[in-house]
Parts: sequence; structure tokens; C-alpha cells
Amino acid sequence: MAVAAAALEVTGVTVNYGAFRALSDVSLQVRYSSVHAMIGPNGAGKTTLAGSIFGELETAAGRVVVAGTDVTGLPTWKRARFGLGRGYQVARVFDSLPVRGNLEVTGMARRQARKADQSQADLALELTELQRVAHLKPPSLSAGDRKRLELALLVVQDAKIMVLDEPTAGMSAAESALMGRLIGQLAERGAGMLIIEHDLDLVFSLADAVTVLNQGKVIFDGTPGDALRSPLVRDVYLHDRSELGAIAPAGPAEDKP
Amino acid sequence: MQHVVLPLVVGIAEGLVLALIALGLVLTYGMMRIVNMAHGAFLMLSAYLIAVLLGHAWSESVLGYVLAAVIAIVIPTAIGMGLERTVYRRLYGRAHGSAFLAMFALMMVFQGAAQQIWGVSPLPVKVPSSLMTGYVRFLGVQLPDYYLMIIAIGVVAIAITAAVVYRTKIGLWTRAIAADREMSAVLGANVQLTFGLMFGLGSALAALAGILLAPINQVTISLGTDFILEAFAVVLIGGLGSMTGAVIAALVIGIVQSFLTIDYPPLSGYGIYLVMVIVLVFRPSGLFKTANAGLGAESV
Amino acid sequence: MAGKLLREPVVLSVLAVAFLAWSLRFAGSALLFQLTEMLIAILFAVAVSYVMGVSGTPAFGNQLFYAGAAYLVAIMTTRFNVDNVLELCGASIVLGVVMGGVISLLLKKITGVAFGMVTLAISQMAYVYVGISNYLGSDNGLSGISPGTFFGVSLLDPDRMLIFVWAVVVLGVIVIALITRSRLGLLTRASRDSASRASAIGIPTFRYHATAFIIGAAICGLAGSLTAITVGTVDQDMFYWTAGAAPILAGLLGGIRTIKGPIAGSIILSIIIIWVSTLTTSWLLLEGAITLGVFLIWPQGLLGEGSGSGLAAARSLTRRIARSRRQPKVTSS
Repeated sequence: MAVAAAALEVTGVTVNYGAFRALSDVSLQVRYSSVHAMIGPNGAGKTTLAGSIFGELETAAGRVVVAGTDVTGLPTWKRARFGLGRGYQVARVFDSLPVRGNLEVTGMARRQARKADQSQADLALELTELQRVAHLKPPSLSAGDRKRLELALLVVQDAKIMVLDEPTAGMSAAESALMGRLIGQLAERGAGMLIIEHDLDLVFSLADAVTVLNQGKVIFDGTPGDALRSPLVRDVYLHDRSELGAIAPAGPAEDKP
Repeated sequence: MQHVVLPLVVGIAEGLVLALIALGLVLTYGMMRIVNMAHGAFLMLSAYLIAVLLGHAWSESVLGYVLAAVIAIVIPTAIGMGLERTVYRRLYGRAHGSAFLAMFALMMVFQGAAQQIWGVSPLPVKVPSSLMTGYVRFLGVQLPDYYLMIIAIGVVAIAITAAVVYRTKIGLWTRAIAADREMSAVLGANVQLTFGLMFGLGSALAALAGILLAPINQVTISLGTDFILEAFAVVLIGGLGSMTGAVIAALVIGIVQSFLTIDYPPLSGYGIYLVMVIVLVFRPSGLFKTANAGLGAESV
Repeated sequence: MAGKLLREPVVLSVLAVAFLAWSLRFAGSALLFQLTEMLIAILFAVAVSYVMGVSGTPAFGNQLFYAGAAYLVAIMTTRFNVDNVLELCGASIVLGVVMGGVISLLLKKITGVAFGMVTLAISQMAYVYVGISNYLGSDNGLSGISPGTFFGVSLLDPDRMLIFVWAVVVLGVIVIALITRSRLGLLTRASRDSASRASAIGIPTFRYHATAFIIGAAICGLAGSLTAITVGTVDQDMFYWTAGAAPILAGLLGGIRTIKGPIAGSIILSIIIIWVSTLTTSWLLLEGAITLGVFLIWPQGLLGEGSGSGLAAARSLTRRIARSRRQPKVTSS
């Protein structure tokens, strides 16, 4: 296989909230057609990193390169035009428009088109299985449906790099499974998916790469298998030992190719 | 000396009064995230009450004045707390537009009622002469007793407010709720009680300001709306949610306004607005940033 | 679906035409004047509601454009003898666009309530300035503004003035309605609903908010020019912040995110003011009380988004009242 170029490159990002250093020299790379998970305890800085990728907050240092273009310092709306897509911890969508309207306006914003493209919207609805609620407005939807709507927006947006903040938060097992499938499908279609997650089952079944963040610093960057074996990572999840134990065998696991 | 000391003293006095009004707004905004348009109503009400209470035989002494002042503070405070339970409770979490509508309407009701009860002409305020006509000589300048009294009362009131917010349990709850309401409720803060008491405190401060202003301003139905705009400007300049910012901004504006009135009268009407526009253009969140627009002087 | 979309404009058009016909036929000159004022209030409210409701910008300083245009018209007619109403209205629109643009750029970094307060502050500064400027009539204001001419026809006659104002207001409302439903309006609404989501899909939200503000300023200016020629005088109080309250109140009363909302709100407010001022002097009290009452039942405005619930609440309220009246009083024995 040809070496996939980096869809998203974050280099040496440092973010300060006054005297508090939220991120210290954080770097990671997300490749196209892959699922890259970012995990770590609460307060580690994961959402802050997502925010800095999108230019939602000021970085004291570092660069963000999207699809080969240095977007550091650009406003959010400009970065979006380079293929970046965002999923928020609590879904942010357009509450005054029905689901279909949300998709249409996203399509119009992207293509700077005059009229709405129904076929694009239909495709996204089908993919995310939201057809039956297409006419409803987001406040009438469940939180899980709203997060799927966000994903549908990213599909219409044709985002090549998607940063999803806790995509399965608040979802039932069935919904989470659907989300997981969708994320995998989007990766197969070529997108580079960066997902911030606490659901370790999902992470280890989906992810091709894992970055572990703790107290604003990257403490691990590599394959999921290696992450499980790393003593540093196990230390960080001390209080969640049971989660790791359930996934990985107690002894040395076989090496991944 | 005369040119500097007198305006400075007057400026500080008026600044402190402005600070009292602004603090009430900061408390309401910090906790409830509503910009209380009707805040001026308490100011207007207390001014009318003190005007009505003074001028009787029993209120001619200093003691009588104090008694009248207490009544003129307690009544608006009680009304404020009553309103908080009935009207303001329904405003939490509402869209800004409807909250604005409700508060504006409330202000109109107050003004309309005042107009019906007391008419359109300004009411005279007969403060005991011992308080109004005395002077203190300082550095060769004659400083009016009344303004010195305002400064003393203002400082005490602000100190008490600071003590309540930073040293008491309820103050702690207030700051916690301002930072994160849900979490505070989960941790056991009695949100209803805190809101009620803090709203009462804010109303009391506004009422106090009204009493202090009554003798030196015209007591009309527009008293509330006139000062509320200045108080909002102070809050925005100081930084929405910052108590320290509000006090400092109020003092600065009071002093600037005072000097402008004497040295550049034509500019005195603009003073506060010019300051506000300039400050906000360069520092949109005001002079003192607070994290999550919580309550407090800490910048995070 | 198309039927539903067309229903509102059709109803409004029919009402507008019926209003004009009725007024011309039955209204005496005093009432004609009040009705003309009401039309101008509607335009003002629709413009302010566009900025506050559709664009989501709390703008408390729109009286700046309204009063500014009124003063511009006053100067143009009294000192430069400009008579053509099209020139007067056109100049007012241009003034609104220029001022709106300058303010938008100047306050680019300021959002939310702060933005509203700064625009209000600017209007207050104008109030002070006008009050001390002799050229602008200081605290006496300017008077003797001619009603102007439309293609040579004088608008002195109240009937003719009503027709002209009606035409301008209808045009203005149509323009705002079309913009709201256009791509521009849609992206503006998206920017309002969620600034972060809008930015995240590539919408330059500032540009849309600024455009909405400028459009609002232009139409507010247009309304101001109409006021100048109908009333004939201008006064510094027009810049005072409470002058900008009526359109905001009207919009909130009727539903600030719609077109029919501010129209209905203005009509109701105008009726209340006219009706109440004939009864008592306590219009402040009554207006405030009524508004408060409306808010408690219909928080989104009478005809606002989601007012379906408001209507339902009203229906259930009336049902409850009717039911309590029908039931015989239970007496303890």
C-alpha cells in the first residue's frame, strides 16, 4: 500500500489559560483512511487540543497543518474550508432548522451554492440512519440522534479530517455500535478520523493509532496494542484498571504486525 | 488645590454610588446570567420613598433620617426578593430576548406606578440640614459633608458586600453557582436561597444608592433609567461578572466625569460612553476578565 | 408544503391592502396621522427584529440610525431645500448603510450584550452632541420639515402621505422578508443558532452578522426619514435609548424571529398606546403590565417561533376559565 500522507499534523502545541498550562508541546499526526484515538483522564487537555486544532482558542506555541496547508492563526471558518470537520462533546447543530434543513444549509455553506442539494442530504441521512427524523428539529431529538446528526453534517461537508469529541457519549450500546460502524465506514471512505473517547472498548476495536494525553502532555503515541502494554498508560488509568484488564490478557500480548 | 481636591472628592463619591448600583448588576449577572434591566427600579423606588418620608417632623433629626433611610432600603429590597421568587425565577435559562422583554416591562410597571402615585414633577428631598450644609476643611479646601458621608457609607457598603461574597458560606455558594450552577446544586448548594438572598443584597445596594442620590439629583421616574445605563457601562468596562472590575471602573468613571464637568463641560455628557467604547474596542471583555464569566476578581 | 409557505405572505398582503382601503375610506385626518405613525413603527420594528431575531445580535442602538436619518432629512429639507422624497429616503438608506458598516467594523471583536450596550452608548453620545449643537437645533430640535414631493406631487395631504408611507413600508417589509428567506438569511440564521457550528462548516459568521446589521441600519434609517416628513419636527430625544425600546418591545411581543411578529407587536402596542392615552395618563403602567402578562403566557411572543405552544397555552387557559365559570360553586354543608 502507498504510504498515506498525513491528513492532520499537530506540532508542538502549547495552550495556556492564564497561569495554567493546559497543553505542553503536544504533537500528533492523523493519517487519511485511519481512525486515530485520543484518550486520557478527564482534564488531560483533549478537548482543549480539539479546540486549538480548530482555532477556537489561542495557542501560545505550535503549528497545525491540515492536508498540507499550515492553518495556524487562521480563523475557524477558514480552517473548515480545508477539509476539517468537528464533532462537539455536546452536539452543536442548528436548532431552528429541521434535520434535513441542517444538512441542506451545510451543503450550501460548503459549495457556496444558491440552492440546497437534496441528493447530498439524502445520502447523509441514509448513511447515519436518520431518515425517519429528517423533518424534526434538533431539540426534539435525543442527544444520541443529535450526535449522529453532527456526523451527517460532516458527511455533507465532505470533511476529510474529522475531529470527534466523545462521539458515543450518552449513547446506548446499540447506538454506540452504530456510531462505531459509521466512524469505521467514514475512515474506509478516506477520511482521517481523530476521536476523543472514554469508551475504551470502542477505541481498541476501531483505532489504528492511539495518542494518550495526561495533564497536557503526550505520554504515549503508537498502536493500540502497544498502548495496552505500556506501563505508563496503565499507570495513568490506575483507577480504571478493570477496564484495561477486561480488554487485554494479563500476560504479554502477541505483537501486532 | 481647589481645582483638584474638590472634583476628586465629588468624583470618588459619585463613583462609589455608581459602584453600588453596578455591584447589584454584577451579582445578578454572575449568578443568573440575566442582565437585569429593571435594577434601576429599586433605585427609583428608594429615592421616592426617602423623598416622601423626609420633610416630616419625625424625620428632621439625623436619627429620623437614618430611620427613613432604613425604611427606604428595606421596602425595595423586600419587593426585589418578592419579584425574584415570582418573575425572575421564570427567566432563568430563557432566551435573552424574552428576559429582556420581561424586565423592560417590569421597569415600565414601576415607572408607571410611580407616575400614578407621585405624578410627573420631581419631588423635593429635605435632608436634615446638619448633614447637607456642613463643610470640612481639608488641605485648604472646603469639602461638603454630604459627599464625605457618601464616601464613608459607600466604602462601608462595598466592604460589607465583599465580606459577604468572599467570607461567608452564602458568598461561597454564590461564587460557586456563578462558576457552575449545576455542579454547585449537585454539591448541595441551596440555589433558590442563594439567588433570593443575593438578589436582595443587590436590590439593597441599589436602594442605598437611590437614597444617597436623592438629594443631589432630581427625583423623577426617569432616575432609574438614567443611572442604569451608566451602571451597565461600568459593568461592561470592568468586565461582566467581575466585582472588583465594577468598583474600579465606577471610581474611574466617577472621577473622570467629575473633572470633565468642571474643566470641559461640553464633554461631560460623553465621558462615560466614550470610555466604554474605547475600552471595549481594545479589550472586548472588559478590563478584568473572569473565567467562564463567573463571579470574582480572579483572572484565570 | 408550498401552500403553507405561501399562506403567510398572502394573508399579510390581503391585510395590508384591506388596511389601506379602509383607512382611506373611513379615517379622519387625526386617525390617518396615527395610522401613518403605526406603519412607520411597523417598519422600524421589522428592521430591528431582523437584526435581533434573525441575526441574533442584541442591538440596543438602532435609534441612532432612525434618528440620524430623521435629522438628515430635516437638514436636507430645511437648509438645502431638497423636496423629492425619493432623494430623502435614498439618502437615509445610504446613511444607514454607511453608519452601520462603520460601526460593524469598529466593533468587530465585541459580541453579545456588550455590542448592544456599545451601540447604545454611541446613540447616547449622539444624543448629547445633538443637544449642544446649534446647527442641529440643540435641545429645541428642528422643525418645519416639509412633507416632500413624490414626482412633483406634494404629500401634504394626509391621504397621499398615507399611501406613500404605506407603499414604502410594504416595500421595506417585503425586502426584509425576501432577505430572510434567501440564502443570505439562511446562513445568517445558522450563524445565530450556533456560531461555533456555523464556523466549523465554513461560514464566516462575522460577515453575515455585519451584513444583517447594515441592512437593519438602512431600513431603520428609511423609517426615520418617513417619521421626519410625517411629523415635521425632529428632536434630540429621538436618540435617547428609550426611543429604541418601542421596536424591540414590539418585536419581542409578537415574536422576534418572524416577520409577522414585529408587525403584530407594533399594531398591538400602537393600539394600546392610542387606546390607553385616551383613557388615562397611566399608559406606562398599563403597557408594562400587559407586556409582562404577555410574556408570562407567551414567552416566545404572540406569534413567535414555537408559539404553537403559546396558542395552546392560551386555548387551555381560556378553556380553564370557561370551565370554572360553568361549574356551580361547591358549598360545604
